[in-house]
Amino acid sequence: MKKRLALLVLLLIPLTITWAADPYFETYAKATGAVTVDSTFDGPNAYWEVVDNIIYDLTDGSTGDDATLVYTISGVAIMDPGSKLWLGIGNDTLKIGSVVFGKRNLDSMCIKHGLSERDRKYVPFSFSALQDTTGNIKDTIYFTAACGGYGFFDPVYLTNVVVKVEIGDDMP
Amino acid sequence: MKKRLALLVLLLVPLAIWAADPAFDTYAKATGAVTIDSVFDGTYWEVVDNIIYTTTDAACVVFTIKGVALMDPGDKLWLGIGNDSLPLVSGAFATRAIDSMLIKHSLTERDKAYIPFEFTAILDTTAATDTIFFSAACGGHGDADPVELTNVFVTVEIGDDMP
Repeated sequence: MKKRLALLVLLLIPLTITWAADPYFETYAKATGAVTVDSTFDGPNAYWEVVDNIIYDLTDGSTGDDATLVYTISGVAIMDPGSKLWLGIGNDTLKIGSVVFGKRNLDSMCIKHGLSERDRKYVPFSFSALQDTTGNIKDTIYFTAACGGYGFFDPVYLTNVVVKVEIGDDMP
Repeated sequence: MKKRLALLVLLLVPLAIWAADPAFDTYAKATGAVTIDSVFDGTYWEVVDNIIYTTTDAACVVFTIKGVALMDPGDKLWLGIGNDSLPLVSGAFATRAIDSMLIKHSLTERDKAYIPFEFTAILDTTAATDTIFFSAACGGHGDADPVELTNVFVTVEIGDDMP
């Protein structure tokens, strides 16, 4: 009986530590590096060029719970006067020919460098979107981008692009 | 002996849970688009958003507010992070007791600018539940132009206490 109880103690400690230390907090990251965005913006409801994608996995059992996911894309945009950069985060895609385009159904944003500016500009950016989800999900998140629009077609160069998915506890 | 061992089990389980206490936690909130029209006056600023965090142990807490500011020539944007607030006649106002910063789009520029920003402040704290206020003001010193913010996103990252 003593031995059984001692064994129980030895079993319970690592089990409890593992359970309590359940990795709700997990980060996936990917260095995309340098990208040229030359797909022209063609409207708020269209699909944009995929810059990169990242897969997160909440199906491993240890994280099968409600979670808050924070997606971030950061980098530096090299923009000429009049250039516009549209960035999007989404989990839906559309294949046109051999190219995969992504939807920015989670969030999107625009950075603009004024036409009246006289010089090329290096614009550091960090763009995040949030998603509350339940556990047991494995999903691909797409980071999309477009340039110009409304008569402008100037490509925008991105450098030092890093994409990140942070998994946290469900927000209170 | 059995009772002792059983007691040991009962003691060790919560101890193990405590030892495995998840010191790393992230709270995040998408605030979206906001217009800052409260003019800087040096004291309490308009609250953009707030977020509540809980730590169960000594921790280093990193607060971040980021987004894009749409600024006309001459505009000023003041951003603050604090944990003290004051309800005034309309709306909540907060001090930026932890840290503050200023972004200025020069009056000599000729065009509206889209300025992505990321502003972070750090607080060393003990076990606590607290509300953090992200506050902002525009203009000041004679200027009263509102500033529009888009894609505002606030996060609180809780890490182990800094060595």
